[in-house]
Amino acid sequence: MKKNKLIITSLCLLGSVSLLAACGNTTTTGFDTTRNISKYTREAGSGTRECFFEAIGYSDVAKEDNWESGVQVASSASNSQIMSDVANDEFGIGYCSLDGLEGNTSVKALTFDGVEASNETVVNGQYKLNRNFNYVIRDYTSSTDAQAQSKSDVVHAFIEYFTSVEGVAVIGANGGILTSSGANTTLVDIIAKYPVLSGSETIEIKTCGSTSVQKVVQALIDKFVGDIPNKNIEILMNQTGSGDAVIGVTEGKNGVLSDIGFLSREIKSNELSALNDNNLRDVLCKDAVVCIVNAKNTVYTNTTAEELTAIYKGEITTWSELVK
Amino acid sequence: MENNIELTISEKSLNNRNKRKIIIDKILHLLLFFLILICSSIIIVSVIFILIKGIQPFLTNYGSEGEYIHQSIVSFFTNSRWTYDGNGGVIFLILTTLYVVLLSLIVSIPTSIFTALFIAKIAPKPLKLIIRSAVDLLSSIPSVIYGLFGMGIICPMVNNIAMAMGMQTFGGKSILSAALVIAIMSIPTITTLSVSAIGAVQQDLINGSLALGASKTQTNMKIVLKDAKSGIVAGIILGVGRSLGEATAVQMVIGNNSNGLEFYNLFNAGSTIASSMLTGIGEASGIGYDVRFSLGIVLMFIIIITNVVLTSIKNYNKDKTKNGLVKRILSLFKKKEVKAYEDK
Repeated sequence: MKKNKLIITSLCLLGSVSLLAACGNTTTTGFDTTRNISKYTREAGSGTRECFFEAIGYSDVAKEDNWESGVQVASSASNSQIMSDVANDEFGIGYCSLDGLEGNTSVKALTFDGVEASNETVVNGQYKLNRNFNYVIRDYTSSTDAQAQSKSDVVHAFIEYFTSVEGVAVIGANGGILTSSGANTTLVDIIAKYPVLSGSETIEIKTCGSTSVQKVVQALIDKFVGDIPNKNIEILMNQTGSGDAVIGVTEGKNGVLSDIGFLSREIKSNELSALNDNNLRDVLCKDAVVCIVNAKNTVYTNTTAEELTAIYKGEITTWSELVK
Repeated sequence: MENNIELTISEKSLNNRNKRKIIIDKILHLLLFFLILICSSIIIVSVIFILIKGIQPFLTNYGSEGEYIHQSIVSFFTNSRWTYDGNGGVIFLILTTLYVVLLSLIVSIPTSIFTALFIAKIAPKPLKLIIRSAVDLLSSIPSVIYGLFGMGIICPMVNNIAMAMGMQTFGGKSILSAALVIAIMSIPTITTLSVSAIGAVQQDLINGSLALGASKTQTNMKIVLKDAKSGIVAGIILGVGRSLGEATAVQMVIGNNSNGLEFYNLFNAGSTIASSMLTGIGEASGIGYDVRFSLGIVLMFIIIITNVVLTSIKNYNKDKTKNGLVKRILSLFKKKEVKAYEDK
């Protein structure tokens, strides 16, 4: 009996010690290229994901998890989560929006076709993994809303603000990449053009659509609403996804008609049929998608569309196949 | 005469008082009935709502411009991967869900039963209080916190174990991590119910066992636990219910791989029904949004079926032990006596 007890206690001790040892970081010497590549993706329905897989030419999985059979891909629910996931996995590969990557030392951005992702390379067209943030506004001419005219004025003033000196500065400071630096007006001109901005009418403007633009648009709203004289104007954000942008400004989502819809992709042909010339639409700014690996990965620095497709298709499984 | 009058007055007031009491009673009954109606109608309405919404993807057309997009019934039951575009199959999600819960039970059942036994029978009073309140506290911690704990502690641990074994995980995000997180989450539920079940074991039974010469450990293991079985199973049923439907914490540690045919590999990423309902719901629209309600129906069915199965197991055990534990103990000793007698 006593012997048994001794054996059991020693086994328990051994187990807990080995567990504790497993908790601690095992020291590794260099990057082990014989290991498998763990593939990460954004969740189905994400605009970043659509942009990434369309750009590398693997459109089967752009919207849905139609991976080749037996291929294991983990999905992360947000831009920051995919970064932390790759940061926690030495052998991981993933992709995220350029905005937010700055100052992150636990992941390493890969160059694409030898071009590093930056504002300049996106603007001059060298960096191919990019997308437009678009906006579309409501058609006020057919509106029965009593405030249609004043709402229309505020919305027009707001979209003119996107290209004003002040607006351009805000977009640039919040990670948006501008294709043309030409700011053609100033806020003072806009206020002079639209008298409703200096009045005292209470107006509520609603935005909808993509969540990817949230940071930029929120900053624009804060600055715009703060700087205009009419303090009764409110712009409320309700971002759910690019798919809701056109629906939100045409027929309304869940009975709520929005004034401005934002998309992190181009407007699709079937969505265009619901719009007319009064639904002003344009590019707000650009964003780049960057392929990332763990910071400990010292062997892989440049990627190509072919390699990425092969990785996500499961044709290349270990790091040694990439590093020759 | 005076007496008579007094009597009638007091009788009257008594009657009045009684009437008032009856009226108050009736009002209270009505109020309670009304509250119960609200309560039960919420359940019924939400179930009907999910049923209607969940059947919709199978029947309506989500495509435009002549495209016909709907959730195909055939692929819903045959496809080996889950997608939100109408071709997803749910079977592997069900299997992964059950597999993860089963794995979690392997950890949580022994842990919580022995914790409960310790709290109820073995621990000295001050320690008992501390452990009990710790367990109660555990059950009130929200699942996001467990998810964060899983991401921060369990995932790196699982990752290191996998690395040491020459296997690989998604930074520790795996079915094993999900099972461990779920196990930790269901331990307080099972423990709390087991403590009350063990506490309800008749002292006579314990005394009887001790008097017959059984040691304390023997009594605890063979008498107390056996008698408390149905209460413990009730706790397990509650714990399983919570585990099956857990979405947030699981989604944070399981890796959300919907191509999950290889779910039997502990270090693979996977996804459960609840976690795939949650993943990407923020940007979902159209069929991708509505098909989550179909998953909801499946999840409800799975929970109902597991509950029915577990309850029947519980009742089966009850029927068996109904004939008296005491009798059984006695028969055990009787046999020995008879044997000893026969040997003589």
